Amino acid sequence: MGKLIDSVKFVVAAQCIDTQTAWNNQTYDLGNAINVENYRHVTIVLIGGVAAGTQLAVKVVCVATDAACVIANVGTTAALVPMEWVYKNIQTAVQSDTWVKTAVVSDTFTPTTTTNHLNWVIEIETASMSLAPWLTINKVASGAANYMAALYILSQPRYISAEDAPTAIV
Amino acid sequence: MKLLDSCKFVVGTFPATAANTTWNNQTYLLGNAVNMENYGHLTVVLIGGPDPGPMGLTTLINAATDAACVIAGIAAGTSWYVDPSYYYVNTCTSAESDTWTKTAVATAGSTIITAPFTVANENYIIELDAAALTHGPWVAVNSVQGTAGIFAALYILSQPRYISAETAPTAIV
Repeated sequence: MGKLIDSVKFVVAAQCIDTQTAWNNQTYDLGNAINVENYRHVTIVLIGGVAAGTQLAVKVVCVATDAACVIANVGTTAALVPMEWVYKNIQTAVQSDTWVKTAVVSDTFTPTTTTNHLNWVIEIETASMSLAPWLTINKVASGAANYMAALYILSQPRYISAEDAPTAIV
Repeated sequence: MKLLDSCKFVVGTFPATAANTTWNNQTYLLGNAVNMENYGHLTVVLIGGPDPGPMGLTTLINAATDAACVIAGIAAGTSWYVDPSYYYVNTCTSAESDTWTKTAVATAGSTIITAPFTVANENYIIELDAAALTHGPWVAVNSVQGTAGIFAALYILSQPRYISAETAPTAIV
């Protein structure tokens, strides 16, 4: 049986980092942008820690180039990726591996402000991107020290290349 | 097709400090064990942070039950190490990278990684077929208490026995 790494591309979007720092795509450990030209689907997993304050808006940005893939360009050279729902997993007091489909308004969701251990999955068909092929997750800086990590999983590759999947960051 | 329709995501460890924290499977926050009976394959993704650790010896534990899936059971003969032979490491120390380098386990038959997260922004992937389990369906990632840093872990269970869009079988009971 095949390894998952043979059929998908894993890219760390945000390392385990204090969310007082905005995810901006301009440094490699904060919402690093990815090039989806060789993949038809992107799954983004957000792993939350102990909530010590406000978590603010999460959006996904798409655009033609890596450098332009920032939230400040939305409305000019960049656009938001359509996002109708996300999947939410919550483990405030007990273990859970249930992901609840949750509606999203205006292609933006805001993680609950005071809930510990809240996790999210975003599923994106790259065909839905109005601008391509670069995509990044963006999150506004939180109001206090929390930790959150994010992982991109690029699937349905154009080329199957075991252990040597095409890069997604250049 | 959404990946969530064909894989089960289970958070293994929330972003937690390595100091004073052992990934032990006994709380849902720290290396929570998963049941692979409905899945043919497990991928474990370990995500580091800008503050290096390290964590201590990192292993995969296999047992017949959730409660027995702890490292203390190794000596007691109620849990066993799983040896995936190799793992993959990704490092973003000074520049972005999505390259995962195949690396042999530290000690065949026991320790996978001796001191993960020694440098900032190191990440790891461990791939394991269910067929490699010898003592039941439960698996947990275990990492001995480290000295510093904030790290997280994610389980991705794939090759399900049942395709059930958005309602994949649970992997924690």
